[in-house]
Amino acid sequence: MIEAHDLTKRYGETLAVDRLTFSATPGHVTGFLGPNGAGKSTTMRMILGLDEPSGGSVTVNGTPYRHHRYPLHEVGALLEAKAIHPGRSSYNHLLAVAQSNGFGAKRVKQVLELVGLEHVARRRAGQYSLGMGQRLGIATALLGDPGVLLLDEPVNGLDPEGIIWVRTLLKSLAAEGRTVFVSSHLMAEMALTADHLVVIGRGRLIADTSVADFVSRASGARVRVSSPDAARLRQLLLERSSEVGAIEPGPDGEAPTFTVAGLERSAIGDLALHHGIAIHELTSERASLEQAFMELTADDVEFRAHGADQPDEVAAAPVAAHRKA
Amino acid sequence: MSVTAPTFTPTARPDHRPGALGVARSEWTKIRSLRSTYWTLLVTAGLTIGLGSLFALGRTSGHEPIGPNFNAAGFPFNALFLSQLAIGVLGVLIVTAEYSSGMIRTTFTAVPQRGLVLTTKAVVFGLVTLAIAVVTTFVTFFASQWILNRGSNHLGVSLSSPSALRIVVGAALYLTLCGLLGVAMGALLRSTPAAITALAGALFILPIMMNFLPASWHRDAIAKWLPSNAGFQIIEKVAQPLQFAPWVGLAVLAGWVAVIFAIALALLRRRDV
Repeated sequence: MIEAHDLTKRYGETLAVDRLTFSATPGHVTGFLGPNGAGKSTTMRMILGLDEPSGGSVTVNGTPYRHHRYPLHEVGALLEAKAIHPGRSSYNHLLAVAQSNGFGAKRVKQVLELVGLEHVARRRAGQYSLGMGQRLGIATALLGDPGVLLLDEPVNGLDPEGIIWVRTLLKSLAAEGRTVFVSSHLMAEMALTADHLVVIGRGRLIADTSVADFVSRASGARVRVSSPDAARLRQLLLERSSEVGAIEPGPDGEAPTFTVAGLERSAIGDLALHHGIAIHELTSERASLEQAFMELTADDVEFRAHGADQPDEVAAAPVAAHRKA
Repeated sequence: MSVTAPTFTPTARPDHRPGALGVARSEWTKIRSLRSTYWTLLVTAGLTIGLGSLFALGRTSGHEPIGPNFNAAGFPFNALFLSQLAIGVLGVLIVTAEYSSGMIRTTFTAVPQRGLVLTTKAVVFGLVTLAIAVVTTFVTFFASQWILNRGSNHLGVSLSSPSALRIVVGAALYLTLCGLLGVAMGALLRSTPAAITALAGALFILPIMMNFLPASWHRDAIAKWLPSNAGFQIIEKVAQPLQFAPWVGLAVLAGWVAVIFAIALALLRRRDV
C-alpha cells in the first residue's frame, strides 16, 4: 500500500509535484501516467525517501520509507535501467544490494533465474543491452521479495517478447497480493497491464480512476461517416446531435467525411436510408487510452477550466479522496 | 477493484539482520568486484616502489653530494608525491561512480541510513588501502635501502635505525589518508571530474602556487597547513624548520580529511539524491 497525501515538491519557483493525493492498493497494478516532466520520477523518489518532500507526506505500508527496518523486504524499486556500474557483473551487483539487507547469494541466484539472466550473470553489465538492463533492474527490485513494487518505465527498451514477459510478471505479482505501482508513457501498454490509473500533469492529479472509466471520461465514442452527399446528411444530423464535426474532403477521390458524437451507428444509417442518402463508410471511433491521455494532459489547465462547468469531469480530486476513505 | 486481493506473504527471508555488518559486506563486494580497483591499487604500489627505487638509484650515482643529514629512510618516499594521486582517484571513484551510474539511488533505497553507508564505505576502503599501502611502503623501504647499500655505497639504513619504522608506517598512513581525502571529496562534490580536480588542486597545485606568493603574506605560515605539505612531514627524519613535526603534520592531514568528510556527511543527509 502506497499512500500520498498532499505530496508537494518545489524546486525554487517551480512546483514539480503539487499537492498530490493518491494511493496504490495491494492486489492491483496501478499505472502512473503523465507526460514527460509531469513529476512522475520526482514522486517516485519521494516515495522512496530519496527526495525530501517540500510538503505533504507519503507512506509505504503506513510508514515513511526511511523508517523501514528491512527496506528491500518492504519495497522493491526500479528507477532507471542500467543504474549499475558498467564494470560490475550483474551477479556482484545483486549480491552487493542483497547483502546490505541481510540477503545472501541464494536469493541472488533465485532472482537471476526469475528474470532469465542466469547465463550472463558473470558478464560485465556495461556489455548489456537496454533490455537486459531492465531485467537486471527488475531482478534488483525483486531481491527482497517485497510486498510493494515501484517500477519506473519497466518496459522501456524491451523487445515484444520482453514486454509480454513484464506484463505477465506484473499481473502475477499483483495477483499474489502485492502492490504494483508502475509508471509508463506507453498508454496502450498500461491499458493491457494496469487495473487502476493515477494520471498527473504538471505535478497535479488529473485522474485517479479505473482504466475503463478513464477512457470513457475522455471524448467518448464518435462515429465517422463518409457519404457523397455529406453536406445534406450533416445538415440532417445537426438537428439530432450537437456534436457534428466539419466536413473533410475524402482521400483520393473518395467521398467526404465527418464525425458525429452522441448518436449510434444504427441511428445514422437508418436516417440516411430514410432520406435516400448513400453511405460509403460508417465506423465507430472509440477513444483509445492514448487519445484520452493526450486530451486530458495536453493542457491540464484548459481541462480544469473546461471541467468546472461539468461536475462529472472534475471528479478527479474527490474520487481520490473517496478512495482513500 | 471489487475483487478481494489475497494477502501477500513473502517467501524469501533475510539470512542476517540488517545493519553495519551487512552494509560492510555490501561495500566489500562493490570494491572487490571491479577491475579498476585492482589496477589502481597496482598503479599505486608500482609507482611507490618503482619511483622509490629509482630515487635511491639516483643517489648512488655519485653525482650528488650526500650530506651527513641524508634521510636515507624517507628520501625514496618522495615517490608518494605521484602515487598519492592514484590512490586519491580511486577514493574519488568509489563514491562518484555510484552517482554517475545512478547506482547511488539503489544503494540509498536499500539502506536509507546514508551516513552509515558513506562511513562504512570509507572504513572498508580505508582498510583495503591501508593493507596494500603497508605492504607497498615496506617493499619500497627494503628495495631502496638495498639499492643504497649496493657496491661501495653504504648509504642505506636498517628498519631499527632512528625514525625509520615511523617513516615506513607513516608513509602507509599518508597514502591511506590521501585515499580517504578522495572519498571525502567525492562525497562532497558527487562528480568525478570536479572531485579529481579538487583533489589534485589540494595535493599538487596549491603547494606549488604557494611558492609564487609574496613572502610578506605569511606564505610559510600558510603553506605548512596544506594537506600534502603537512602530511609529507611524516617522512622527514627530524622536524623541519617552518614545518610541523612529523606526527603533528600527519594529524593535520587527518584533520583535513575529517573536516571535509564531516561536511560531506552533513550535506548527504539533507541533499536529494
